[in-house]
Amino acid sequence: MSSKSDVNTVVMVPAAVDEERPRYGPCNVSRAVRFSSPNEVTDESLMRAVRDGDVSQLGALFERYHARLFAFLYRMTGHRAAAEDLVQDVFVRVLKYRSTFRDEGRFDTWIFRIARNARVDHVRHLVPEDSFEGHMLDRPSPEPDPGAQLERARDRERLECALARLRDDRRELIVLARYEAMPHDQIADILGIGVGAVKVRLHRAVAELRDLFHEDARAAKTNV
Amino acid sequence: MTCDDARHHSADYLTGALPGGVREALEEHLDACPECARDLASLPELWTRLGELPEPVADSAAMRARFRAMTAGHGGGAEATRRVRDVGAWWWTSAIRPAWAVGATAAALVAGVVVGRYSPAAAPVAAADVTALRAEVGELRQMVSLSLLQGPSASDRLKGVAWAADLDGSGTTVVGALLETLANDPNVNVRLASVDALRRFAERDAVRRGAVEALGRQTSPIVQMALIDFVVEARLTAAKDALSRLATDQAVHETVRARAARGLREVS
Repeated sequence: MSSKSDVNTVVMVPAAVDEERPRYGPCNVSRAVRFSSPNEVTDESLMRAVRDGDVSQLGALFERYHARLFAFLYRMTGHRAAAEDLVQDVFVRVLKYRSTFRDEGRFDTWIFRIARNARVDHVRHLVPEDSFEGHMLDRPSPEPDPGAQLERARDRERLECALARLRDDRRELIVLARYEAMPHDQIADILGIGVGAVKVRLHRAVAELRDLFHEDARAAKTNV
Repeated sequence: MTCDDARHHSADYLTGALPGGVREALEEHLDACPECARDLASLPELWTRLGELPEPVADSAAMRARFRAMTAGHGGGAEATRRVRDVGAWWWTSAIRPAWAVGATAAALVAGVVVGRYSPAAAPVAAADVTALRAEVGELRQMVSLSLLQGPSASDRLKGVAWAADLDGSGTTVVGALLETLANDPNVNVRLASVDALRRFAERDAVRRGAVEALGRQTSPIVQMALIDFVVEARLTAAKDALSRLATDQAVHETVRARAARGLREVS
């Protein structure tokens, strides 16, 4: 997710050690883990420099975060061009609101809050046909084929469609927890809710996703 | 472990954050309880499948070029970004859309006036129908806005604020709901949006009072800054005390303190 950079401190490692995983299967999603080293420049110190007037340091933060923000915003909007524009908008806002970055705050939490805000502003100006569903669900269904590979591809597509059909706030929870691999307390900070609420809502979101996925699968079998 | 416990631990179970002992207890419970097994046991498999969906790949080169253009034009901020946006994508973006909307509305208005001016006189009944229809649509938008503002989801409440901001001549109910949102919404983004929405109604006494009260209570620096701008633009002399407190309170963010001090001079 994060691009390489000379001053990069966000390093990609496999998601989790085996004994920490659920028993039902491995997770192939990478997780951003912070390693501390005396020579590394942290995101927070770069942002403090930007805040204090050294705008050139924003480039390093862009390198670290643009791909990650793009993935988040693409999953939330379902629209590549919109996600690219929103990433740009996020960095414009980082500059605009740089004075509000607090010394004790985590940079990734702060920038993801900004990204959510930018997306919400974007949604406010959407007409219905520009919505996520408009792009994801209008995709033609794949032709029936007995091949196992195509069946898996169809399953993936059905899962994408089910994810697109989830309410925005529920999809957001799944994206932050699953693809950003954020701990619940950080998600709680970003969303402005309690950790308990994050756990309850995440459980509901995944259960609803499962129901939508199975509903689509049943409908597909009926249509074949 | 009870069924409630099992559901409580579900999210940690999925993300691998459950301590070993609790996880074993949960798995034992799932083996023994068919209802929970139905409800929870299939979720980890779905979680795994989610991880198999393709990762969106950014066009880093193009994004980097736009970013460089933006920072080169820093000081122009969003305008600089817009300048380098490719022609095929710029027209729909949130930054540009309002300009198109205003232009299209103005063109429609002019066309309507021209058609009305040079057409045979329309029946008075039709004009009354249009007025009634417009009023009904306005009421409907107001209801949607109020309903969204009371929703449990912050995203919905943000949409509610946006709807309220777009209403023509919002009544006291909607403005009251916006003030309530500003005072009590737990989400900082929603409170910030409500400040923007309330700018349109800055001449109303209730809104002016609400802004001054909120200025004394808000703790989020972004919301504090937005409220300071609000009271300065509206020339609210009643905000002097609140501004003075913000300007001297060492617990307040230094940028907010400086802005409050400047605002105090501007409203005095």
